[in-house]
Amino acid sequence: MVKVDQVEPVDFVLHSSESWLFRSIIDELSRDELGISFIYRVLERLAEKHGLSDVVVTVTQESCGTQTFRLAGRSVDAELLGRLGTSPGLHCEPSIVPEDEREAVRMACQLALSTHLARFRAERDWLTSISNRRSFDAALKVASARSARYGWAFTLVVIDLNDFKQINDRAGHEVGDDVLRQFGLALRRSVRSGDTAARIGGDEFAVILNNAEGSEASGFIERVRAQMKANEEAIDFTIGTAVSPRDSTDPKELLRIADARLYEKRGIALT
Amino acid sequence: MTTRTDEDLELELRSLPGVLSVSIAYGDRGDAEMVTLLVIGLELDATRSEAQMILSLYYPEVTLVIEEANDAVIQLSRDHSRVAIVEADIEHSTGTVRVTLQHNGRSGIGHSASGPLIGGAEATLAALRDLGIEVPFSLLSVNSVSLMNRWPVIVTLRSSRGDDDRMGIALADGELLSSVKSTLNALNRFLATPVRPG
Repeated sequence: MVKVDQVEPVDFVLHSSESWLFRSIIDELSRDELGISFIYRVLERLAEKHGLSDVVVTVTQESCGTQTFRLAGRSVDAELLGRLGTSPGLHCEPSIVPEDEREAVRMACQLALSTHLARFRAERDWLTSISNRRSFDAALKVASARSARYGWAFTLVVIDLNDFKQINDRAGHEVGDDVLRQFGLALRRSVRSGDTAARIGGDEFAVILNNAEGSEASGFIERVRAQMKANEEAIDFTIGTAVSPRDSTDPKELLRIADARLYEKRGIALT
Repeated sequence: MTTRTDEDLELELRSLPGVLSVSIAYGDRGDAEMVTLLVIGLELDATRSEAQMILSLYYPEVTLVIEEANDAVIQLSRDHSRVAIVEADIEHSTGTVRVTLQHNGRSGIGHSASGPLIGGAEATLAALRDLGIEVPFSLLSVNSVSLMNRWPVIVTLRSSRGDDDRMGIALADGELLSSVKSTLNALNRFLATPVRPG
């Protein structure tokens, strides 16, 4: 759930004439659905209200730059954008939409993009774009609860990159960051739809393989190794696994077991 | 209807350098079929490979189409700060209007002796040209229309290149400022597609 205070401040002023917009925003916020599709829905609603055949809104957003959205997600062709320009605002011809409403729609769209970006940032690791620790913990909790209740099996895989510190020391942090990015990418490419891959620490990763009890996990590990072989900076990794419900259905216990098995492989005893 | 997964995909693609617009086309069954990016061609190859990589993580089978933005967009993107109205004054005894605009720290001044409505639009076009901005349009009409006890100004500009006319509408404090804003509005906001007949 995105908290409103996570959203970048937007000078948001709604007049009585845009009460439909205000109600839409409140509805979508209450359902935690104020995202990019909200922008398209607003444009559709605006076109319907004013009998427009088309409408384009251009907003700017830190890290996305200038972005243009067109009614119902239709693509904006280069020629049209050239005539529109990239100035922030709502573009329609003729401009029969009152100026205050146009500005309110632009701000609503900016708010929706900001909200989606805030949620994206809150759930994803900034470096690798896979899930971060917080969303991984939430996913593990959900998977464990399902496993306890319905007996649905899943495998938790924890992964530690070998000698990662030496790469940082030898080649610098930029190369180290690149290795982490490459590894995150390898995980994203190797998991199945519905699985969760996360970076849970500096060079520690974890994956939840749903409906998997061992053999699927080895296939996944092989896929990751194959992806990493193509990488310039050679990097190997050590894994530890725990299977639910066989080993436990408690998320903390599963993590402890997987960690212990990882350290056992490295010849390190956990205290 | 986009799903949250598609929203994430769209946001990831929008975050790539040079991407201005993303659209996801869906088939009859609601599955994503094609993703189109409009990009500035400065780092086209890098953007293409990054976009392909991201797309493959979500939909390996979906076609990626990259459209390169034209020169006008590239120029606008390099220089995307808005033209700001600094001042719009009228000498009521003579009807002389003076409009000052600012763009990228530069000021442009335009004059007209045609009163607040027509003069506002003429002086705005002159100020834009004084800023060095090519404006291939001439003033066709300026109208003040009654709308729920308010009087917005509609400016229509005729293209000297044979393109469609451009229209702008604005309601501001007074006819002069409405005319200036409406002229800028006409130049900034334009759609290729005509209004659907009622």
